[in-house]
Amino acid sequence: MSTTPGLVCEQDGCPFADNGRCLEGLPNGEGCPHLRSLAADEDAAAAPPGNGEPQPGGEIADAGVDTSELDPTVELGGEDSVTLAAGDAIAARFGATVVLIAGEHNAGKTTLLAELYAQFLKGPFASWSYAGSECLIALDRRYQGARGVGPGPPEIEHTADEEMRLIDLRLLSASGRRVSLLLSDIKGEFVRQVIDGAPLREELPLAVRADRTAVLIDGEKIASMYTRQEAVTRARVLIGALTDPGGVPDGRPLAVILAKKDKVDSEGLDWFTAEADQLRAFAEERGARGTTVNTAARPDNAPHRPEGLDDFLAWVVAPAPEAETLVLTTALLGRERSFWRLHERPYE
Amino acid sequence: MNDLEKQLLMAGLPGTGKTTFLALLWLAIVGGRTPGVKLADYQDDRTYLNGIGARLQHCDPTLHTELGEDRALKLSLLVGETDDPAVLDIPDLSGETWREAATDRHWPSRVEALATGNKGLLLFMHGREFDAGATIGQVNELTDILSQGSDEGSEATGHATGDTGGHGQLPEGPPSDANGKSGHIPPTQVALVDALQLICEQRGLRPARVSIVISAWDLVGEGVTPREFVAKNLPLLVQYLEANEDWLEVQIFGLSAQGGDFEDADSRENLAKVDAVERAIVQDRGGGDVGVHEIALWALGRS
Repeated sequence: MSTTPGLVCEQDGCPFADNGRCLEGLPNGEGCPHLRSLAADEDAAAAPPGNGEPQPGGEIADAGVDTSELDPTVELGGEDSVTLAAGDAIAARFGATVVLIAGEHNAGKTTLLAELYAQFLKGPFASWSYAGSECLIALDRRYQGARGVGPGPPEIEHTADEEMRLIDLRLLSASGRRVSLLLSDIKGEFVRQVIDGAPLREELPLAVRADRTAVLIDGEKIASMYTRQEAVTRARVLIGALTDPGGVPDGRPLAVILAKKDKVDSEGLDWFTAEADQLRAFAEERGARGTTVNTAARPDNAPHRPEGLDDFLAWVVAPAPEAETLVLTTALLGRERSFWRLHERPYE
Repeated sequence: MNDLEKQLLMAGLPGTGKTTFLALLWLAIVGGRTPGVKLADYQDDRTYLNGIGARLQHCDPTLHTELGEDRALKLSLLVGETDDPAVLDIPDLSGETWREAATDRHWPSRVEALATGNKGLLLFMHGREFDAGATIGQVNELTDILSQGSDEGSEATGHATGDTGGHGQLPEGPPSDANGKSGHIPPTQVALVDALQLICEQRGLRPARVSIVISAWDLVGEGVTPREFVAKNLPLLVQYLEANEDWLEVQIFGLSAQGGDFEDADSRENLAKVDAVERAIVQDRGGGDVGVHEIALWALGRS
């Protein structure tokens, strides 16, 4: 018979603690009302779920090993986006296409990422399948946080980190092509500062490394004739700052992305289409490979189907315009942020 | 661990049938009903196995946790036609361990050792009680339908089901705690993929072998195979498995270790008349009946 450390009998004269025999004659003291757990005394924490409760479907509850006894824990990570250093490690393993998603506060950056992830919860999306992510729980946390209970618009958990972080997402196409994406997860404040004149290499060093850059424009701003001009002007300034010498290298793709398209009426959309063409042309004048994409990642109106996410994904996973032969390494750049180069792309 | 020792890691949230599986596996082995697997001797400590096996035979609907018992299946076996000696070790970790891993993002160092040193993984989910993970679009569609279609003014709650026939419910939005932990329980398919990534991709050996066990299979309903169940209800998992099939070998099983409902008195009485191993239901991915030991053998690479 096994001993039963961690249990004590409260009945006078019971030899259970000495030899494991229950005075009531119950094997292992099973069901004895006089037994109690020492651990429970020390820590009033509840017993593990399943103890004594019928389990769903009537299966026997997991008895389980008590792993709480002075066993140091190992942190698993995954509940948040990754640091640039951790992104280095991911890229070294899988290769990476780094995508800078630049937009001001509330422009829709996090919603765009969360809804892109959510498409894979229903099955392959736009001929791409989920192949893995070290940020799976981070993505789900951001998405599921917005799935909260109650009617009304869901609240998105905005990026709060003060440092640049990345979301890792690996995909497999129906044709067998694999891509490993590192999508930026940065506060809009960094972007605002660049628009207002802060040095790009200090505020958005990722721009230098980014294989692709998406400039997000808030559809809610475009919807109002009082704010739309400013929104486009600020986007133009941002594109200019991004493409200044020392910024986004020549020939890299840059997309002007309208977020929250569902907020914009047809008149506003016509106006923006013309303006977006000019922004794209401006980006191309500055050496980038420009394009425009309109998205409504989480439309309010029925049937609540995302629009333009497939176009966004197609742009993100498009083959690089020129052959890349570099692997990520970390070096210091301004304010100790990472600067990356690719020298190997095992996932491509 | 010596060369003969084959350790399987058994993972799954509370109530997903892990302990019941162990009980059935023990009864099948000791009863000589596991072709290709037999006991090498009767020297191992069987206190825990005898206990949970007896409760399965008794059709005991409520099993109280036996604190202090040796919670593992560890048996000296002879495996295969050539009677290869092996020591099968399947620790019975608490489902709460896996819940904490999913929500709080940590596990004990002992589990870390198991995750890095196992020969295969047994991953459990419940066949009916699971979170299908409805999308926001699906929730909004449902909200529209409810708000438009009810003369009584049904209140849209935001709770919704996925495509599972009504079994999935949305958990409440999870606030972060002071340590930045999300505290939210991800939908079942996300939790399963997360477990595979944590155990097999980030720590385990490659190639990895996994038996995914859908428990309470009798509650799923006839006319669906385990493979079809996964394809319908767990699309993210399907994508992950297919995308990584070059190193991740997976078999899917449906398992009803009890064979029916122990809570219902009539059902329990009828079940008690049948041998515990006989009344169990074990199906492979295509719906074919197999022995419960096949679940372990697959993960060990012997099937």
